[in-house]
Amino acid sequence: MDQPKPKKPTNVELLNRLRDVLGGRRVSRALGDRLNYSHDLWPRSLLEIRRGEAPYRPDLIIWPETTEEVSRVLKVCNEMRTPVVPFGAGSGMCGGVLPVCGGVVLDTKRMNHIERISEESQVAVCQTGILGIHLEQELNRRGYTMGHFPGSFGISTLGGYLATRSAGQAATMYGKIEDMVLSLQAVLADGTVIHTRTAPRRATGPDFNHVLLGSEGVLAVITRAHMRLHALPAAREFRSAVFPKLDNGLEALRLMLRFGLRPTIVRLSDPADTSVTMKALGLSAQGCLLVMVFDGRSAQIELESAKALEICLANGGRDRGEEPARHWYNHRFAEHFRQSPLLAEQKMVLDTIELAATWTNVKPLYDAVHKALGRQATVLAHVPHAYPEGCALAFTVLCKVTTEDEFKRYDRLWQTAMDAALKNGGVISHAHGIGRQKVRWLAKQLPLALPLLQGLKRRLDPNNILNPGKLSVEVECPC
Amino acid sequence: MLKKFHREIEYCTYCPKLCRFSCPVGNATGNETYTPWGRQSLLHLVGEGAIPWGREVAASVYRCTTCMLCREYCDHELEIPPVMLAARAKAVKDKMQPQEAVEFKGFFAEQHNPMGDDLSARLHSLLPKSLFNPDAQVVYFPGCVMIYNYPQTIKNTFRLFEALDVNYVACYDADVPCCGVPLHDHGYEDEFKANAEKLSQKLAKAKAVVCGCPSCAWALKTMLPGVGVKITDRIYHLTEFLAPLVAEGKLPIRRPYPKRLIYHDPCYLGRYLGVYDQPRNLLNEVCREPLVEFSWNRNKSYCCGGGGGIPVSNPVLAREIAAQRLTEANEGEKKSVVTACPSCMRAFQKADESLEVLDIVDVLVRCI
Repeated sequence: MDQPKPKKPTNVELLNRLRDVLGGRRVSRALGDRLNYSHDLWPRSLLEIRRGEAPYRPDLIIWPETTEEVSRVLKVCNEMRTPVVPFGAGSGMCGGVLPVCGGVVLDTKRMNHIERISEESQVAVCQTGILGIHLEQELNRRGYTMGHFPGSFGISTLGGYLATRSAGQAATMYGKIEDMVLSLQAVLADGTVIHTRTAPRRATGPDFNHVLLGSEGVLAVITRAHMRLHALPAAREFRSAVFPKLDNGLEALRLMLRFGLRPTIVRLSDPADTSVTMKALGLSAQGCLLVMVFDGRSAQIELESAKALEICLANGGRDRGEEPARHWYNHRFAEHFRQSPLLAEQKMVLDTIELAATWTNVKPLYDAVHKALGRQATVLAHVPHAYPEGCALAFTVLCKVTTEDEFKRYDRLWQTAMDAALKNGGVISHAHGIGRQKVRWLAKQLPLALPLLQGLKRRLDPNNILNPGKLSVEVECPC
Repeated sequence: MLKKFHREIEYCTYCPKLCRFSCPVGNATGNETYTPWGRQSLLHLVGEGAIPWGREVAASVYRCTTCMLCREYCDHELEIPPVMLAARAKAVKDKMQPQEAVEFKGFFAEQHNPMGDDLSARLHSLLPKSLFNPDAQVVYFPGCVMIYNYPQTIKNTFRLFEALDVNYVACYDADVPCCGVPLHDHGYEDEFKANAEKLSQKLAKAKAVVCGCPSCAWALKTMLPGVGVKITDRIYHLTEFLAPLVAEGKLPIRRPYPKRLIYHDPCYLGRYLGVYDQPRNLLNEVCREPLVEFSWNRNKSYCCGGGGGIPVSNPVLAREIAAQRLTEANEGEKKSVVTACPSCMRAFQKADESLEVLDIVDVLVRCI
């Protein structure tokens, strides 16, 4: 993959001006910080680290604490034509925070306060640097949940969710991040602070929230959000079923959602993924495992889960009881621990390619991508999120990498998956975003919309200081 | 020096930062470098020869409170503090340690403790001569932080012993007042060992040692034997010693403790020594109000910021960590914080002077 060259180091004047705004403690040019902020969790970056490389080093890292400070530092950077990369916790998997032009990484994590919780409106007002897990723990203590549990739950920020249009494991019930946000505060490249109005809904022209959601830091730095809350559920039920084929499971899911059931979590595994999941339980199963979690009042979820199981059985499923679902739920974030031994000891790459399609296209998409990837890697797939209109597909790929061809092999995997997705009616990302990794295919996905987005970018950020090289194939560094 | 930690360093480097939300330094600073992942990634790059082992990297390994909370969230059960402490020792050997560490060592050398005062004299002026017995078989070891900051707690400890009819515990005379953990925290392994040897001689006749401070108990129990220094293996924290006696009904409780208390598990008492129930049992014996728990409690207890040399190397950071911990204590109905570690007490009081912070001993004494 062609990569742009890093920009020359930032000058002392910039350092001094940022120190004037933030003080010495919240501006760093330490080598260690520059290395640790040089990448996110894109496996390609991890391969580079294994070779002792860190090609995109920022010049400075800053930690503002307020919207006003963000505004002041952006004014300085805009005046000095310095790139600024907004950074949450760096858990992205596609190079969304790579400082490809060097410049300043703006870490939001010191903006981590829950400013207010309105009990009456069930709304939390939060700074966006708060870690998702800390936000949820605090809400739980007060009897609420936001209902957002992405796989990166413990290692990602609210701002990251907003900037990448994240979706969590409980999206079927609680919705995706765009369904959870009521209003945003953000800072434009020239330091202008903008707000959208907090309301349950609005019909006041295009919704600017949706312009900023998924903008991956190229349009503005999102600093505060009003988030919708839900009361913590009173009860929880687990159900599992195994289907002979993936088609049966997909059809059961489709019918459940069409019927109006809204399990909190559904996760349908293909045969390979089922084998791994069941092995962890000390069980074996051939077929496709569906785990379901239902939250709510006990009488309600008893009815819902019974109906869901009835639909499963009617579509060829066998009842496997509570345990597979309960076990998966209790260990749902633990699978990420597999990454370290795989990379460190077995020299293998573990990555997730996540796509989405309508029910009409989902099986052909699965077949095409699975077939294409299967020639190059071990592939496990599952449906992590389902909606009345369709679902997401997540392909976990595992492939041996060797020193000489590791990058080529890795890039070829993605080329294969993206091409297959585009050819078979899928979207190239359901919840992880685009970053530097998928931007080449974004132009194919959005041939008309991408130029419009870039026009908006030029209007809001004429000097192109905000996260250059993202949502844009070309890397044009400000100068 | 760091080769034996190859697995820890590699696993953390390639881990998607799964414990990062638990790191008190990472949370307080917001800095990715000051998380287990960030520090270990730098050691990995040093090992690869990609970056030099210099003062900047060395400074990062000093940004760890050694609280061990990260281990509780690691499926591989990796322990990061030993890696950080080994890296600090390497920094000292290579003369790469931060200036604060150099100054600390000099300061420590003056009085053999981190307080820069004659702690033995302080202790002797505090307690009657009869409580010091160099031949005693059971010795109370208060620890330097306790002697310097909380003399009343030491007096209260002996009031409790008296009330419990425990007349066989003598007070350590504090000629070598410090267990050496602060030296070890700053990377001075040789000095730690020298201190340990002196300490071992002072405690040679003791068949059991009861410590007022959890990190002293950990040091005497594991760190001294770890560097080949002999000492009795019957080392207890005070709460371990008191709990069975109080449970037997030996403490004459005259009035219940009236105020609402929230209990903080010290890292070294909990995660290091595994003592969780005894402090709670003691408090439940005397408290009228139900004991309040932090939402991060027991093995998931959050650090006070007082460990790992952070208060010396970065007092502002230590206060920020303590303030985060105290958020829950300060919300809603006013509560006093009770704990069982003088370093935790000190850290909390520095962060919030208006807050009442107590040792369990102080609570018990008010009830007899």
